Order: sequence, then structure tokens, then C-alpha cells
Amino acid sequence: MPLFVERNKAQGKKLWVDENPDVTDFYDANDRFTVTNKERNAYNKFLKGLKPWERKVFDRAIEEDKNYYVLEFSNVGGLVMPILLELTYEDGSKEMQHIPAEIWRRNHKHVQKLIITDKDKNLVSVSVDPRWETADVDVENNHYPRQIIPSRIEVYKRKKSTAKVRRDIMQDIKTELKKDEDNDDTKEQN
Amino acid sequence: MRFVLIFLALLVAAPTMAHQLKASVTTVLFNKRTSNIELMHRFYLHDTEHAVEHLFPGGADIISNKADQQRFVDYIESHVALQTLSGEPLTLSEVGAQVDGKFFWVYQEAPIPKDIKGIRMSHGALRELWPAQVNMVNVEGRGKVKTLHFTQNDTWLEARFEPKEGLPLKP
Repeated sequence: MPLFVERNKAQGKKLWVDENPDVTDFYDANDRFTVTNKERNAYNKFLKGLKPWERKVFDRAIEEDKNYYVLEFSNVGGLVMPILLELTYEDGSKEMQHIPAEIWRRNHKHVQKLIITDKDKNLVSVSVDPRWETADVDVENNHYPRQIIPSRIEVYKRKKSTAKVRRDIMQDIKTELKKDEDNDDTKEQN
Repeated sequence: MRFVLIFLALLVAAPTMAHQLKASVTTVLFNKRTSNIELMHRFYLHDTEHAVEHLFPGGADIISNKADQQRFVDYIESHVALQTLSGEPLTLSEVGAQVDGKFFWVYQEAPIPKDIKGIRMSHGALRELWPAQVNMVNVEGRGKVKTLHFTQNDTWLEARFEPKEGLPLKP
């Protein structure tokens, strides 16, 4: 619902539709996500079409109620390689998954990989080969969501630091830890 | 006799010790973010130093002498050219150069012209000095990577981009 509709309602403003209910039609209450019997029939037909073992898997998947992610990979360069995945989850934890090159044995152009995680473990981002272990000439398409990879010239043009050292850690390490009560900035050791 | 044999064996082995791959790699990147055509030439440091010595007699020190680096950059600039498919020249501006490991990099750029469907390129660097020199150019950023090999008597080579998928081919 748009914000202005909410604010108008809070202000007690009456909309044209509210004052004239006879102008509403079917599409005021329904949109393309409305489930009708047509969809229910299609779903039942799909269930009937499953083989017993498929049904068993399907029921188990619904009962377990986990997160299911399907990752799709295309072979752009031509040479099949193991897929080294780094999965980053919502809580910040990371996991490496090394998929052997045999994943390409049935289709060397395009493969899919199903990743199943628990309900409270949501996937945030996926990187392919983050440590540059495979022969990959184009690292631009290795991240989901996409990342901007600067070109060599862009990196060269960046302003270089003129400082001799980035941080003077040998000085900084002598700094005393401030306590909560003293807010005096002058106590900092130089 | 034994010493003669050892000497002969060393003589045979000698050429394999020096690096003899006369080759350079250039990336021509159509960069969407900067809307520039970015040329990144990679040469063996060893080759660049020999080239500068050849062209400007009197010794060269590419690693520490900025003047020698600049000489080589100027030399590259006079031996690399870009054109549109219809033959209009694209002016390349100098960005800089840099030593990275055993390689020497030279950077150039030019704004991307409107409605460009391909490029013509000439890359004659070092080829007049060594007939075996091969300059490989990868054109990236516009569909599939196109590769041009400059060998022997090649002067101008061209790379054409495929029309975008879904769009009809224009005659």
C-alpha cells in the first residue's frame, strides 16, 4: 500500500472509492497473485503426476521446511573446472563448498546446484573461487549479487597515498584504553 | 675430448636459458563505468629495455630511470593506433606506465564513440626490431572477447562486435 494512502487514512480523509463503493470492481480486491481453483487443480495434477519416490521426496521436503536455493552456472570460457563456492549467510558466517568438476559431466555448458540450509540460515551472497585457485580469466561474473571489479587503469588512476607508512602502529600501540568515565580527549598519549 | 663435449652441450643449452618469447599482450577494454576505451599493454621488462637501447643508443634502465620509461611510452604511442570500422582515427591519450614484477605496463585511453560496431587497430610495437615479435590484443567488454594477433606483415586488423541478442540484424 502506498504511503499516501496510509497517511490519508490516518488523517481521516475519505477517498473517492470509499464514498462511492459502487465504482469498485473485481480487480480492486484481486491481482495476479490471487490463487483460484485453476491453480489448485494444476497443483493437484502436479502431485498426481509424481512417481511414488518423487512424492516421498516432495513430502519430506515440505515436512522438513528448509531453505532451498538453486544456483545456476554457465560455462562461458569452455574449460570445465571445479566450482569453488563461498556462501555468506545472514549472520555473517561463511562456508566454503568445493564442488568437483564432475558436476559438468552431463552438461558441460550449464549446470544447476541445489543448496539446502536451515530456515534460520539465510543465504546473502555467493562468490565463485574467491581465492583465485582455478584458471579464471574473468572475475567480474564471480559474485552474486554482482560486484564492481575496477579495471587496471581505474586502479592505476586512483590517488596514491604519499605517507611513508599507512598507520604508525608502533606509536598507536602505546595508546591507553579510555575508560567510560573520562571523556577527556587530551589524555591521549602522543 | 670430454671438455669439448661439455662445451658443445653448454652451447646447445644456452639459448634455452634466455627468455625468447617475443610477445606482448594488450587488453582493449570497453569500460561502461568510465565510458572509455582502455588500452592496457603488457610487455616483458626485458624486451622494453632492449628496445629502448636499440632505439636510443647509450644504455637504458627501465626499472629506475623515468626518462627511459617515458621514451618507451612515447615509442608505444607512435606505434599503436585505433580507428572506427569506417576508418576514422580515434585519438588515444596517455594515462601512464608502471613496472609490475617482470612486466612493464603502458596505459592509454580514448572515449567510446557513439554507436560503435567494431574497431580497427594497428599495433606495430617492437615488430620492426624483432621479426618474431607477436602482439596479441584481446578486445573485451563488448560481447564475446575478440582476439587479434599482430604477426609478420599485419598492419591493420579489425574486430567486429556481434549485435546485441534479441535485436534484429541491420543490413
